[in-house]
Amino acid sequence: MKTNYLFEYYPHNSLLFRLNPLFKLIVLIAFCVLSALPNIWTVSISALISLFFTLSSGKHIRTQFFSMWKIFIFFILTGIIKYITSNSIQDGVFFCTRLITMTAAGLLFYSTTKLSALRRLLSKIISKKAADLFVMMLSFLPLIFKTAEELKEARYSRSFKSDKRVLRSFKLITIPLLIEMFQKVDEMADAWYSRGYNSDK
Amino acid sequence: MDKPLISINNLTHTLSNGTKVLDSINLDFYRNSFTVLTGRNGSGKTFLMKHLNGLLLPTEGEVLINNISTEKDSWNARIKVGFVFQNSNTQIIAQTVEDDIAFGLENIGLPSAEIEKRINESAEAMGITSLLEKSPHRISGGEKKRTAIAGIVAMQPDIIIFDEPFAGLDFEGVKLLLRKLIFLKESGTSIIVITHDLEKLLAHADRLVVMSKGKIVGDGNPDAMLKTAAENGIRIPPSENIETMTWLYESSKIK
Repeated sequence: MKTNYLFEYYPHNSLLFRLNPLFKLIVLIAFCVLSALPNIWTVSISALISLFFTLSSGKHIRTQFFSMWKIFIFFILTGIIKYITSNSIQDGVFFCTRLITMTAAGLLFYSTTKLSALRRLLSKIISKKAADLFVMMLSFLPLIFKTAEELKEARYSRSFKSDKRVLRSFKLITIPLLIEMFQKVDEMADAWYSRGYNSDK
Repeated sequence: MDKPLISINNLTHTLSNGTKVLDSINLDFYRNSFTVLTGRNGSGKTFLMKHLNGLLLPTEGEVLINNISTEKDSWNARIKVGFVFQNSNTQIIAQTVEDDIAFGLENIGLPSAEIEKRINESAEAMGITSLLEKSPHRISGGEKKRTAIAGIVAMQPDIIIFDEPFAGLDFEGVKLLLRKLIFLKESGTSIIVITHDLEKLLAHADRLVVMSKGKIVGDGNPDAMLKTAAENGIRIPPSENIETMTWLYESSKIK
């Protein structure tokens, strides 16, 4: 059983956790924009900064980062394909570095930010409804990974092997995950409403 | 007699495929009452309770909370009637226990000092003060259940509905939760518990409502309703003397 789910918040006492959530969100957006610029320096610096903070921000964030190795391999493969197709190694390296940088920055933001505080701050700037929707969407993210892990465990406990047949694996894990997620959206909405949530008040 | 807190008048709920999940329900719930609602799986208990919390609206009839129809103001229903879901995982939505308790309070629009006060009070009442900074995904099933209850208790509703509160709890968890329920009852909160587990609660309840196929088939004093419950497929305690069923609560007080 996994003890660490992707994008799960762990209460911790450090500078990153104490920073204003809105400031962190702005930095994250700026970071993504910088790493998307076609300039070797901005991409390299943003990659170094995001990796430095990710790797120095506590064991649980490091563990979460390294648990994404499959996603990173996918990014690297995408970079290689881009290199082969556009015939420029720089393009390929840029592409996968950008993706890894953005993922690391997003993970860092997510794992160190209290969504309730972000919701309060955002609702002062944008409409309450939009802030609530944004936070609800974010709070759903760790739930997807947790549910996927639970579904996999349930299948593995019945001798299922995911590496055998990709289509079967899709049918047995991805489709139930989608169905489960739709149900969870309903349940989450019920949980919000049952506790006095009203987008207009 | 007091005015009822909740008045259900001829409530019918028909699904889009024509199935009547609730059929002409008439019930009143009063202040300081402790009601146990029982019935077979699929008899409509949770459906009925979701109407009281304004999560569902009647297709016929009406549900009045403090004389205000849930159709006119479902937000009023959600503030006055707390609902503790059967599955605490569904109910807990924040990243820390403290934030989760605060969620409902923020929705009511309380000032932050009051929110903090109520968080501390309800956490203390539910014995989860030490968990406030923890992630709700990292606590035990019993602690999750108490976190979910604390989130509702903090909102100070007039009435709290518990849907199968003992499901999935170990014996110690059941005893602890029972103590909390009795504590809530003694502090003046009206309680409705949906359960199949009559033995744990009946000695403390002043009313037993039995449902079958979307209808109320029995409503009254627990002593008088036991036979009806048995006739409708509910396992009744081996001893029919309800007075003797306080053993669990008594044992929960022994350290």
